[in-house]
Amino acid sequence: MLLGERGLRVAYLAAAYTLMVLLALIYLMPFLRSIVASFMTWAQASAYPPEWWPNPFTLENYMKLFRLSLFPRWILNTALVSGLVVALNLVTCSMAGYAFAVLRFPGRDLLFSALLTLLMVPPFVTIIPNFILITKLGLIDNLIGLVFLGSASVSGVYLMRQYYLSLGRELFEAARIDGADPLRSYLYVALPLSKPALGALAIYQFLGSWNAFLGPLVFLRSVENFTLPVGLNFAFSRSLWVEYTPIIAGSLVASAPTIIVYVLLNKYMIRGTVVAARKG
Amino acid sequence: MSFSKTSFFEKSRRLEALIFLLLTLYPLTLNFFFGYFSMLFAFALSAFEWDILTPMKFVGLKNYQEMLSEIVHGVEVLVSSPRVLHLRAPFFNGLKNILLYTAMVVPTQTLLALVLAAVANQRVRGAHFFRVAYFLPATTCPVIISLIFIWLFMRDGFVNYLISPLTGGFKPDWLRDPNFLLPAIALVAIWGTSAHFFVTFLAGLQALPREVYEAAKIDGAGALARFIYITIPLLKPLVTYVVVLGTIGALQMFDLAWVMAGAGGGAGGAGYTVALDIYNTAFVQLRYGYAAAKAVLLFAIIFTLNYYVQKKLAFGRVT
Amino acid sequence: MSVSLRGVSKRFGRVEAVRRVSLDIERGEFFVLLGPSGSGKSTLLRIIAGLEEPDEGEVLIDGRVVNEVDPSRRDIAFVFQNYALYPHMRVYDNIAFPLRMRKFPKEQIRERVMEVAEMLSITHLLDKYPHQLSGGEQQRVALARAIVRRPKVFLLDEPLSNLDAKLRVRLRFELRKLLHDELKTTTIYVTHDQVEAMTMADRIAVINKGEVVQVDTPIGLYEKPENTFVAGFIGTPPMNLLSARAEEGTIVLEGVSITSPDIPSGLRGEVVVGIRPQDVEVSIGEGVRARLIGMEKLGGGVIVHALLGRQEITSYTERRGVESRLEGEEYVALLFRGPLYVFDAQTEKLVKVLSEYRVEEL
Repeated sequence: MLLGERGLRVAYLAAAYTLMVLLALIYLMPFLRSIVASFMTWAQASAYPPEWWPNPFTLENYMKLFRLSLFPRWILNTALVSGLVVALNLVTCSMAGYAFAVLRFPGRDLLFSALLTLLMVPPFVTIIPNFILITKLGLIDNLIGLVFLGSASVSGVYLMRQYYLSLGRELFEAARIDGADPLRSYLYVALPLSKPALGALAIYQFLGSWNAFLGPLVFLRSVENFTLPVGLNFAFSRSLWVEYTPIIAGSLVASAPTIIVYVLLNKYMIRGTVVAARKG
Repeated sequence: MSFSKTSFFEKSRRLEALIFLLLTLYPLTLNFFFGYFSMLFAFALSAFEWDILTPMKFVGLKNYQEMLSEIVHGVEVLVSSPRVLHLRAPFFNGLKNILLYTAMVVPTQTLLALVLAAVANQRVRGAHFFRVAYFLPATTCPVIISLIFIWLFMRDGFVNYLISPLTGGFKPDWLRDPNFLLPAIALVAIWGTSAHFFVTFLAGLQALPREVYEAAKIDGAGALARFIYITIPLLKPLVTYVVVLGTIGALQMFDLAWVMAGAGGGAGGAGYTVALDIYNTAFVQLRYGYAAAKAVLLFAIIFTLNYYVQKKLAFGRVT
Repeated sequence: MSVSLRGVSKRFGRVEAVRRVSLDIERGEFFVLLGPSGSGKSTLLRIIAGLEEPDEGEVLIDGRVVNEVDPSRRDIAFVFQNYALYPHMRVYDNIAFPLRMRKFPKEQIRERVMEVAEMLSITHLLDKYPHQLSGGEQQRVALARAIVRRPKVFLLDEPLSNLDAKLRVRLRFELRKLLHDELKTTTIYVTHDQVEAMTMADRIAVINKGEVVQVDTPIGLYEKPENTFVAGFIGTPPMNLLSARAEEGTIVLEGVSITSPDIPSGLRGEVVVGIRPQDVEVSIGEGVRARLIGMEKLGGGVIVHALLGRQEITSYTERRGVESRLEGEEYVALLFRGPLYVFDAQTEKLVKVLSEYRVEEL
């Protein structure tokens, strides 16, 4: 009896692990293959059947990447835009999230629903008018224009609001009775308690901003202003390099920041949105 | 008996309202302007012919007429000589492709996401590593990823190497063969979105109340029965959510097609989508009014499909 | 400070939480709002605090209408059911916060906080964070934060309900002593626990479904409930409320007739007769015949459940040996040894209290 149960458990574990590893391989395969290929020559990377190990091992692809003066420029642009977007969102979303969660205002909930409904609007409906508007505002082909558009994310406001709601209204009522006006309540009570949510917000906004494509494609015109996704695609379509391996290398460099942020900080992404019950 | 409903606020309540405005004005105006105002602008724009350089020309419903006739023409061409569909009726081609694409992508990614979640939810050691691994694709930019996949989908690429035992040596030219281009794009999309929705389902699975399962166990339900009678029904709202979101995303797919098929939609226009068409109409042909009209149509399609799907799988609102 | 409510009403959507409530609370009183959950008592408290605005009516503090006055300026303190301590601040800062907000000088803040901490015996906790404290300790911190401002009114919303039973018994005594005897501050206290209310209050307002049902001292409510709700709510075990008929100066209750000079002559129709279990004596000798259903042995006393005709009646006694005498019996004899309350079955209002009466089996 005992052996049978034990045997069952072992068989189950074996099957489970096999399945998990198989799926992991499938999902990670593109990364694994491209990391390997980025150190190969194109001749080797394009061979069939595929080669598994760089031979010779070469850094030529990465050098080609950085020799192109545009590439580091693209990295800088993307970093600048993402950094600014994160910073601005931290401020705007926490303020607005607090206001929607705690302060009273006629029509507040209506305003909030209207804001949320925007999430359902397909970007394609607004991209053309926004292009025209941004052009008229003189912010076209301008990284700051891009930052401006993304400086107060609706999903960010939603995240912060949900977080402040989860703290419970009694906390803010107590502050009110204690004599704190709405602004001081924000500064002394809400903000100090926001760290988990702000962390999650920063990560989500960074991921979204770094990986954005449609916006930068439409709103940026000159090559020097491109962000990484747009720039790399430009390099690909204009065949800036004869071989394909630099593109692979470039894709890895472009994906690295978001992957690293995710792998290192993924627990903070969950912590900010699933608030532990803190009955105090 | 007196009534206290006075029409003015005491000083502190006025302060509260003022501070509310102070804190929300920027996000509200920014988003409403570039959201609702733009939407209305788009609706209005669709009744004009405009190329930014010359003044606007009011054309009423002409854009919509043109669209409709293109669709009608497209049906004709589809029936008579489908090979040249993408040349004679590109917009219709885009429509056809995106609907095909959506049908391919949405069920598959939903199913895969469910499977991933079920697998990753096992309480075994190292499960956390797998959860991180499965979500990894979703943290990358689709455009960047498709650049990698282009390499993998080459005639002598890794994908063909993997499937050659199954196809008896036949190596499809994914990117240049009109029959395989759309599936290739679909595969890339599924790879990314199933990873994205996997997390949604995982959270859902983990939120399922343990006591219900324990009660079922005591009532004598086996593992499979518990899955069928408890897990699936309890997950249905989430499935609706994933299907709806997936559909909306699939219908608007742009970046993958842009990279893998190019602005023209690639071989035989097989990778041409509505979004691509809208982009071309606006930024290449410089017909902003017409593009807006097409966007309005896309919006209408998304809206009605969304509504229909929610009605059909009406399993309550998703929290 | 005295607190008054005049015709206060409040609706939430379509639900009327509070209906035309008028109350007068004296200065220095320990006043309890007692009612079952959902009765509107917390809403009333919040209206007094200014956390909710009444749809109708006025709130007066010390004779002044404060409807439009912000809670922070009503000179009140509020203790929430879940304490609402600032989780990111140490206990010292939690208590000091209200004084900081009012721009008290640092020295004075320190003085007051220490004073209050000593009063509540929490000086050793000042450096800790709320999540490091037990429920009882958190509650004291919440109290300290309320007391430190020396407000004119304390408002407490079921402060003991999150604590376990033993702690509750001890703390209700201490709370009353502190707030009423030592600080002599007007206190308005909300609870659903009638034992708490009875032991702590100077006066109690019994609230049901948004309305004030009766306001009186604890003894007054116990001895003279104005209707069946109060009669059944106050006192433990709850008063027996039995359906009966009145005709021609006699009340007929399940095959038993009750006559009394106190019964109003014109009384007729359906009535409800109330008698406290403590006033129902059970034996096996003389008395009204009832069927023994069961007994609950509490150690210190016994609750006997019997069937009088078709209605259940309970008796409570602390006399020893009752269980053993009744064990195994099918029928018991009931003797009524206390006031009988007669209520109108329709209006549920008290008609008369019968202190002298005769009971005969028909």
